[in-house]
Amino acid sequence: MRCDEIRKWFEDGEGGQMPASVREHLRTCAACQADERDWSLVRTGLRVLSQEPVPNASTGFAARLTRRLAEPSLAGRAATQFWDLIGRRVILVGSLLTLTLVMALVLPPSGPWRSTAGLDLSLLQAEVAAENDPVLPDDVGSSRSAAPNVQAGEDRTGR
Amino acid sequence: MADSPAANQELEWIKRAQRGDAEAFGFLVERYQRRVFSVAYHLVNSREEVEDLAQEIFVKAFLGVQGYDGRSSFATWLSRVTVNHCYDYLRRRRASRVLYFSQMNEEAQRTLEAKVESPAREGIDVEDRIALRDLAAKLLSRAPAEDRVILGLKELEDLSVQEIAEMLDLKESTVKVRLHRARKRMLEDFRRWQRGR
Repeated sequence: MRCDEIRKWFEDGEGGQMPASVREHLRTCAACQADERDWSLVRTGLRVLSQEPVPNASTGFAARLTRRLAEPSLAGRAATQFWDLIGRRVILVGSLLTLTLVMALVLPPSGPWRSTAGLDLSLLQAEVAAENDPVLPDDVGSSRSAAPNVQAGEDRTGR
Repeated sequence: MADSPAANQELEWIKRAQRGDAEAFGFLVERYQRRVFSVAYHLVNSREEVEDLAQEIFVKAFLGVQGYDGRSSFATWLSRVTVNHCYDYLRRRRASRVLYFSQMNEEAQRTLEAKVESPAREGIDVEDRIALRDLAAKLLSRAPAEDRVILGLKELEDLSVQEIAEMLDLKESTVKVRLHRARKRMLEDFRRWQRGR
């Protein structure tokens, strides 16, 4: 067995019988011997701690507590817990709907992030050029995909 | 206890408590106070505070009993409330004070040092037991709240991995991993103490 397997065995150990392979390793490995010793000390301490008697409730603990629970403030709180829970959920859903509505109204209606940043600039330029061309308004569609500025210049010289 | 008279009686108390009946909840307090005290004591390890904590736990359980849907036993549900409350308490307490080994009782520290330095493992006598108990208590109080909870439930309450998983609403594999890490961290802290002497 390797040292890390031995360490894992100690740390996971459920306190059962130590396997022969672990005992064999411990005979030859000083580091694992120290680990085993440390963990055994800590574990003994935990076992002693677990055997200490648990404190009992003082006399009349349940009766005192019941009287406290029956006080109007607490009993009323218990009765309204359910409605508090429902109310909180209604507020949460309402807030989410409002936020969605506000975002839908505030953000522009196009683009991947609803902005002009991602638009195809060549298309935009073609549109601008076509709008500025007073001569061939009907040819704009056919000339947009070519070089629009050159085409517009040729048209002017041709006239 | 599925259809036993005791189970039926308990179900009746739970239903009445869910309608805000404090007296019915009082019967549940009587039935489970020992368990709540035990879990709370093993998690916080403070005799002075355990009764106040138990009281807060039962008040919290009473206010939240409408949320109990019967998917787990009432005992498990109440234990979950207890663990959650103790976890919050431990986090608050840890935030407010840091514990050092130097705060250990001096005599216990000397005994423990001698024990750690002795070459072979000897029998554990009363003095050793007290010193080791002090050490374990100190290591637990220095541990992060989540380590403290899982080690408390396993090593002090002696619950099985399955019981802890059910109580904390976790997978058994998750509990095993957390236990392994918590034990490892505790051992590292023990070595820090050894090196720092």
